This record gives sequence, C-alpha cells and structure tokens, in this order.
Amino acid sequence: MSMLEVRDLMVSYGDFQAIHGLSLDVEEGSIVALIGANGAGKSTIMQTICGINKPKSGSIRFLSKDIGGMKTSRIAAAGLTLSPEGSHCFEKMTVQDNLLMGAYLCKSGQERMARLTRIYKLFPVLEEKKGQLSTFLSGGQRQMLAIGRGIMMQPKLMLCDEISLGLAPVIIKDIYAKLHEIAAQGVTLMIVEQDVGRSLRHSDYAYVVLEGRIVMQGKSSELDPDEVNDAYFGINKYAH
Amino acid sequence: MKQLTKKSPYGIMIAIAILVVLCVIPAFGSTYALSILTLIFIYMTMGQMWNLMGGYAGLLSLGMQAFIGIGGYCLAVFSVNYGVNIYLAILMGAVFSVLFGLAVSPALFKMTGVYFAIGSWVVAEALLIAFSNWKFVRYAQGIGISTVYQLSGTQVYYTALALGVVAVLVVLCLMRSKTGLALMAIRDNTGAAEVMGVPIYKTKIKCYMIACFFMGLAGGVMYMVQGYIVPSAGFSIQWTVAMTFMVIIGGSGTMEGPIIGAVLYVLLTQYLYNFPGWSMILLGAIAVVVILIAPRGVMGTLHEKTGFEILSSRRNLY
Repeated sequence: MSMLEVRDLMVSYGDFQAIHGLSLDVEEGSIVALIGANGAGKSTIMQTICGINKPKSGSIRFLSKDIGGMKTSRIAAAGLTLSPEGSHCFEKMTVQDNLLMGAYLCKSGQERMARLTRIYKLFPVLEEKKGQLSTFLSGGQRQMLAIGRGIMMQPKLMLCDEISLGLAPVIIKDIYAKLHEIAAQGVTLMIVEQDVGRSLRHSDYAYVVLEGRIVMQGKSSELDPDEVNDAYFGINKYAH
Repeated sequence: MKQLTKKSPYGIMIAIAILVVLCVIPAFGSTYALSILTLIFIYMTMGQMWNLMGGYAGLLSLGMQAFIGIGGYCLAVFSVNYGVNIYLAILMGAVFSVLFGLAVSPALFKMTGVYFAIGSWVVAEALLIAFSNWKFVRYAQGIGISTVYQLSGTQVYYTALALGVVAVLVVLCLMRSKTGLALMAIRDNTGAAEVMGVPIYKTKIKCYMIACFFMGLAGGVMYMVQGYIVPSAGFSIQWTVAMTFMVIIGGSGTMEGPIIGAVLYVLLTQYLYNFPGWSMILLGAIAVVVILIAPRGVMGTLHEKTGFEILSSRRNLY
C-alpha cells in the first residue's frame, strides 16, 4: 500500500483542463520526482494533492484516507505539506517566526523549540539570520527557510515545488544534500524539477509529466536520460 | 543590518511608569487635561483594534464604525429606555457588536483585500440608513444619554483608562500567542499559512470578534463621554479615517504605533479646531508628509533605525 495514491485525477481551471486522468504512487520513505517542462502541470498536481486546487474527478488517498477536495489546513494536519514554488516566505516576519509558523500544529512549546534547534543544526545560516525579516534573505536562504518551515511541521510527506528555481548551482547542490538528510530522517519527499539529470540523480522513482498526463515512469536508476528528454519535450513516440 | 528583535530592557519599566503616572493624574490634573486624556484612551483602543486587523492580520476594514455605532446605541437604548446600569449597558453594546459581527462575517470573509474593505464599509453604511429610519431609536433625531447618569470626569477618565489598558494587553497577549503568529502569516501569505495547517477562516473570525468586542466597548465609552448619539455620527466613516490616520502615523504592525498615533491625533484635532474649514486639509497634509518622510510611521521607523520598542509583540526567544 503506497503512502500517496492518486488515481485518474482530472483538474480544470474553468474551461481549461490542466490534468487529464493522471495516476501516481508515492511509496513511504522514498524520494519521488516529477519531471516536466513549464506548463506540463507539475505545480497543479502538487497544489491539488495538498488541497489548494480542487480535483474535478478522480481520487487522492493519503495514508489510506481520502483527501481529495479536503481543506488544505486539514490535509496539513494529516501530515502532508507543500514547500511552494518561489519559496513563499512570510515577508514581514522574522526568520525565526517563519520557522515557528511551520510548527503551528504542534501544541507543546518545548517540542517547538526542540524542532527549531534541529532546523538550525540543518541550516546554520538560518540561525545567524533568525532575528531578521525574511524579506532580507537571499534566494538560496529563502529556499532553505521554506524547506525548514515545512520540516518544522514534521510532515510525513512533503511536496517540494521547484526548489532549484533561480538558484546558483553551488546552492542547488547544497540544498539537495540537505534534502537527502531530511529524507534520511524519515520524511517522504516528492520533488518537482525541470533538470532531468538532477531529478534522476536525486530520486528513487520518477514520473515524466507532459500536458497533464504521465508519459513515462520508472525507477530513477533505470530510466535512460535521453529517453526521458524525449518524453519531456514530447518528441517522437511521446507526441500526443 | 540591525537585528530587529533587540529588546529594550527598560520596556516594561517604562510601560509601568507611564501607567502609574496616568493613574495618579486625576489627583492634580485639570478637567481639560483629563478630558483630553480620556479621548486619547478611547481613540487608542480603536486604533489598537484597527491595527490588530489592518496592521497585524492584513484585514483592511473600512467599516469598523459599525460597531462604534452599535456600542453607542446599545448604551443609549439600554440605559435610557430600560434603565440598565451604565457599565452593564456598555458591556451589552460589546456583546451585541460581537453578535452582529458574527452574523455578517460569513458574507464578509468570503471577500479579501479591497473587496473586504468595501464590503465592510457597505455593512456600516447599511446600518446608518437602517438606524436613520428606525422608529425605536427615534430615527435620525438621535438619543440623549447624559440625562440618565451622573458621572464625574474622574470616573469617566478611569473607565477610559481601564478600557485602553485592557485593549493593549489583549492585543499584546494575542500577538504573542500562536494565533498572533498565524494572523501575521495570513497577512503575509495566506496560501503558505494554509499549508502549515492554519484554519484561515476560523483564525480571521477570532481576530474579528476581538476587534468587534473592543470597538463596541470603545463606542459605548465614547458616547458615555459625548452624551448624545445620532446615526450620522455613530456610524460615520470619520471613525475609520481617524483610526487609519492614527495607525499609519504611529506605525502599523507595532504595539506602540496606535498609542502614539492616538496622542498625536487627539492633540492635533484639538489644536486644529482653531482653524475651522482648514482642519481636515491640514490633517490630511500632515498624514501625507509623515508617509513621505517615515512610511512605516513614527514607531515603525524608530524601531527600524534603532531597534527600540517598549512593548514587543513578539516573545523574547532569542
């Protein structure tokens, strides 16, 4: 039984159908990558899973509970969160308050502080900047803050949308290293990435999304990057 | 850049010292000084609540005067028509404000941003029209309240002081709680707050209810001072203009902002009475100049430059 099961999902924005009957599975303890070009529907899939968009039809089951169409805050309470694209921070709040917001659902103050200490150990730069407003952080630091905030929730599954967007290669490398540390702590991850090579290197299983459909899937170690590239751009047999 | 969380070790001492001075002032202050301070406390309460909604929670409302009117009218109707004790009547005004707020919130909180602002204004205007055409409250003639009670300036002063202090403490405690954190998160990024598990609607309502309650109280105390209420004054957009002025001048999103704003607003309006016809233009010009020089208000700019704050809305975790 997979941790997350999406079956025949359809999502529309008004008359425009973005997702056409998509199915995917996320196994507990794995890192799953969604690969696809701009406009393929990756962000829509993630936003629908965590309840920001509502599915038109199809089912989403998380830990064998139907969460399709449920309120975002209740899905979060079930242990599923999203680190949104463009690392949306709470701009006028301090770094520390941003992180504490991540532990909003945690009732014990002591536990919140313990989690905070762990995040500061994972991202020491955030501790240096803890008293500053998050609007003054650099792009990489904001991404770390968004991921740290998600981890503060201690989710079972975290969806990370476009974590490498607009970042310098050396910072991307650092962030992926941290992601593996997070995964090792028992958080299942689903990541969205545009770079094919990077996605395959850093995931256990990968789905290639094209125009709202899965056109290719498989174990990341077994997928051929050239084939994935063809699927990514919809070349040859992958063209609709 | 400066760490924004440096805490003034004298903060609490300064606050207590100010409070002690305010408590003993009636012993030697003039009647005029007392009446000015009374006004400052009431306006400060309104400013705090507007700041809680607009400055901290990002709920820009143009309709909080609805609750000032409700508070004032409850005071008038219950004390004049039914002979209820004046303080109880004020409290009932707050309760009615909360009930009315609760009744309109399902519709209001479907809207966000400017739509919420306009929507809340429409509600207040509707009340103005309804009260102007309601026989029970003597249409637009208004109700005289001062005939039914005998209160000294000192009594009114202490009532207003208590109101102001409680309002500041409530906002302070709220902002230091997890709910306060969630309110600021909703202001900065509603979507991200929701994925963190914040129930958006419930949290907004909680904040709105607190603001409604204190607006109702402030309305009651205000009309206890003024002694006569008419719909066109009680439900006037002028209240919102005053609150916005105070919060913007003082510094929105800070605890001290509305306090400083209230002091400046009351003193300025008193002084500007000497320039009939020009007073509103001057007040507006002052607001424009302050926004140009110090866009974050007196307290916001001071805090940014020096890290100074008396009442920190954040717990000292650092």
